[in-house]
Amino acid sequence: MTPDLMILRQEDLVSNPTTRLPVCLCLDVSYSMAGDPIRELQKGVKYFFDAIKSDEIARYSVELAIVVFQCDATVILDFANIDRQRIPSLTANGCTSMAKGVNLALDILEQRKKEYSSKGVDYYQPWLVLMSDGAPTDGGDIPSAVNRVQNLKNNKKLTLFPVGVGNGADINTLKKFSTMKNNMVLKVTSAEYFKEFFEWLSQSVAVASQSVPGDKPTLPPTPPSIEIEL
Amino acid sequence: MNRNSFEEIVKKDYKIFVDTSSLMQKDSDYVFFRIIAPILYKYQKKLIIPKSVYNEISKHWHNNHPNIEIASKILSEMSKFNLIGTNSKFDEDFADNVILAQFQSLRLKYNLCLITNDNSNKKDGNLSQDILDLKKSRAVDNIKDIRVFYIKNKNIVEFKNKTEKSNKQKNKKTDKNYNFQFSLPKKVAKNDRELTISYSPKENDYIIDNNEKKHRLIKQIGRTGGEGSVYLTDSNLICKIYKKEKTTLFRKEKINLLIKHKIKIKNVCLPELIAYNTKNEFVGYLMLPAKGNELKTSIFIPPLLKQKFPNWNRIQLAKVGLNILEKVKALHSHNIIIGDINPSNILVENENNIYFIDTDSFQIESYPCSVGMVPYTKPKHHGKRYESYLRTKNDDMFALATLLFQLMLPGKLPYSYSGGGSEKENMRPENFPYKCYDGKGYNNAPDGQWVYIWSHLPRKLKILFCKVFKKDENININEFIKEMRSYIHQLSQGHQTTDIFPMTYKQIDDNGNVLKDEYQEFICKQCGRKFALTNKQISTLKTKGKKLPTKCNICMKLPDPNLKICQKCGKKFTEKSDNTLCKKCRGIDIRCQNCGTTFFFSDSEKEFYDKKNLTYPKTCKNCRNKKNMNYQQNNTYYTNSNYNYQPNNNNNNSVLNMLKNLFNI
Repeated sequence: MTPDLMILRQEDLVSNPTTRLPVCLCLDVSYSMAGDPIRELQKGVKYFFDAIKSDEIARYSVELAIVVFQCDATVILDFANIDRQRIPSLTANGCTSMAKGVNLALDILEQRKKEYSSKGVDYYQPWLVLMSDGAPTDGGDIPSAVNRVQNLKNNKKLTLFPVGVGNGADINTLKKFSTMKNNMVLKVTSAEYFKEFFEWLSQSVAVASQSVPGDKPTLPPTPPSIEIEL
Repeated sequence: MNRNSFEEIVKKDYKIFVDTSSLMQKDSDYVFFRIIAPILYKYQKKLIIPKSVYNEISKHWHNNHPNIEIASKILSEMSKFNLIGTNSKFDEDFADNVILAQFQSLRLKYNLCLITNDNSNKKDGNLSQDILDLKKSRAVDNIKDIRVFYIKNKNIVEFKNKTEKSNKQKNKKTDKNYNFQFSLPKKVAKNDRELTISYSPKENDYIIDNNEKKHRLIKQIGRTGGEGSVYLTDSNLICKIYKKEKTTLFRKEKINLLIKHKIKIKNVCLPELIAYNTKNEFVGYLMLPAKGNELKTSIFIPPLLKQKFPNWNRIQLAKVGLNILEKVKALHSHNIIIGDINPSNILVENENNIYFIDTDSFQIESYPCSVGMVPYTKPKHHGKRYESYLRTKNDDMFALATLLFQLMLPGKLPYSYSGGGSEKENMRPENFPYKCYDGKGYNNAPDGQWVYIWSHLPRKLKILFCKVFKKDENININEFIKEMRSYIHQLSQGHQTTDIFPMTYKQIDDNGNVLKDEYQEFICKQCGRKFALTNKQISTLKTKGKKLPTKCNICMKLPDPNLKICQKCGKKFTEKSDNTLCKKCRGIDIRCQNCGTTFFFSDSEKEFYDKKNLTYPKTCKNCRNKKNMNYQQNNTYYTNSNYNYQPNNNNNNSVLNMLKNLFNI
């Protein structure tokens, strides 16, 4: 992170007292996402950011970060005021280190929560959106990552939405990560439905950012194009 | 008329007290000299001027109060003519509230009169009203009389009891429910049930009100909320239609009660009419439209505050606060408990027009308010379901105090502190991070300008906040109204900073007077943003011989962005560059002209050579050392010195042996 961004991160917390909802997108950009899927994903992410920006409350309350994973996991966009963020372009390549991705996402969420706390800004417990179209290639590390997620969930400190993309998604692994009722997994069956998924996500985030911290927000119903795997 | 009644009072030997406010009106001199003085003279009576009045007047002299000369002229002239008495019996140390106490005891012996202009006629809670209220407070037989007069337009006018007045108004209005009060039962109504309705009206449908008038729903306003949808009607009213499953008996009863008793408060969007569908089933209610932005999205998010009210300062914020307080007071006077006070239920058009919406959630009699938000709910109620208990006026006051706090410190919740967690966890009296008057300082105050704002608030207002948040005490709404009024007054007189976000702590001189914010602005070396130091801070730093800070508070707490760890030696170094190696570990390789080996010439050495203006070395260290040694050797020969020898660190045996031989050691 450049020093300037580091300062901005802090300054936003000092000047805007609104209760924050940190949301981390944890995206699979492995080789199999190449072509249409990655292009549609990029559009979907942009749509998501625009939708948050256009909601007066969410804009000042929701904070977004993006972690991508291939053979390695990288923070391609760290938390900051959404007005200052530029979405980097996504490229597909390499393997599917899902556990690495989830762990990194949890790390930066934890870090951001610490920053909220030290600056005296209240926050909602974070959201993690895990999207993948395949099976993890670091399967050995999956159980410990799942464990970490489920521990956070049991302490009411995390909401994780797993999203399976296409037909190759490893629904069983995603289910293990789910913190939703009945270990629900959302399914975007085709790249063209990314937009609808992100539309739903932005509405859900907007609802959550205006809810009572600690209470479970009632999320809008998922669009028909998004399947729910129970 | 008024003059006659005043004459009557003088004649009947009422003890007539005067307070400062009545002496400082524009026409006070006229009234005292032309009306009061002749009457006093006629009956050989005197006015009683409490000592505190003299004190207050001398205080106002310092503040250059515009009408102070009038007051002092009146006092000096009246005393020349012996119309002012200093009857020690009455002349205790008075303050306004003590006048009240004095009246309380004196009234058993004497008929009393007070001349005061402390009577801001809008509401009670002023001295005039408090004095008159003494009359009804104790129903003792054979009680003496109390009268209050004030100065108005070159005349002396009697202040009439507000309740007497409103009784008259009541009769005039023939609105027998003007002061209607709902009951305040202890037991909450339970088992609300859904009413069966055949359909919910939608856009373009007609609804019928309780006067059997038809209204068409023209257009939906906003998104459908949790309870239902809101429409504009062709009658220019707003109609709320409940979702089918939210159309319940309790809602219907509540709305019936409010409409039946014709409760009307300006800008509180209470139900005006009941809405039925064409099958005559209860579906919602009609109300007057509200205007403006939610508090939440206009004041409580500082960037939006700047955007929506760019010219506001603290005066407008305090006026919004006062307006909200007065609305709550009016509602409470009918025993209506608001319940869900939160920044999304209050709209701000401007500082004078504040609207209360979502009034159907109010708690009426035993029908609870079934919604709420954690930060505006007393911690003792956390975890309870909102519809399972009845809230009290004190619960409303807690919510209101939180809201006012967020108005004064735009958007900041009172319990947010550095090191805190969720809103709920933070809400404990010991976590309130701001400085109260209890000998303790700030306690993990959140970063930013919040502490500056707090320090600038008037002491009495802060004490109220501390009572609520730190001591968990209940406070009366009139206390808040009084302090908010006085804050507005202080702001408009220039006694308090009007900056919404002051850049420094409040500065007070050695005599306890508030100083104008005098500070210098600096540019932070690191982030380039402005920060301020007060002149006092600057002078203390200077007298202590310390340097002024070059970074703002935020950057000072950050780790230095230029601090890096050398990837070779692992040591920390600070440098504004992209280098990953420290200057000792980076440099160039040079081939020794003497022995041909390559040697490392670091940037750090280079810096040294540059500084001393030396030419860079062409030979390696070893060769240089040898050369030095030779030079030294030669030197010894030449000088033939016996005692100047310094053993060379470089233990070169041959040299040593040579020397040994030389000196016959």
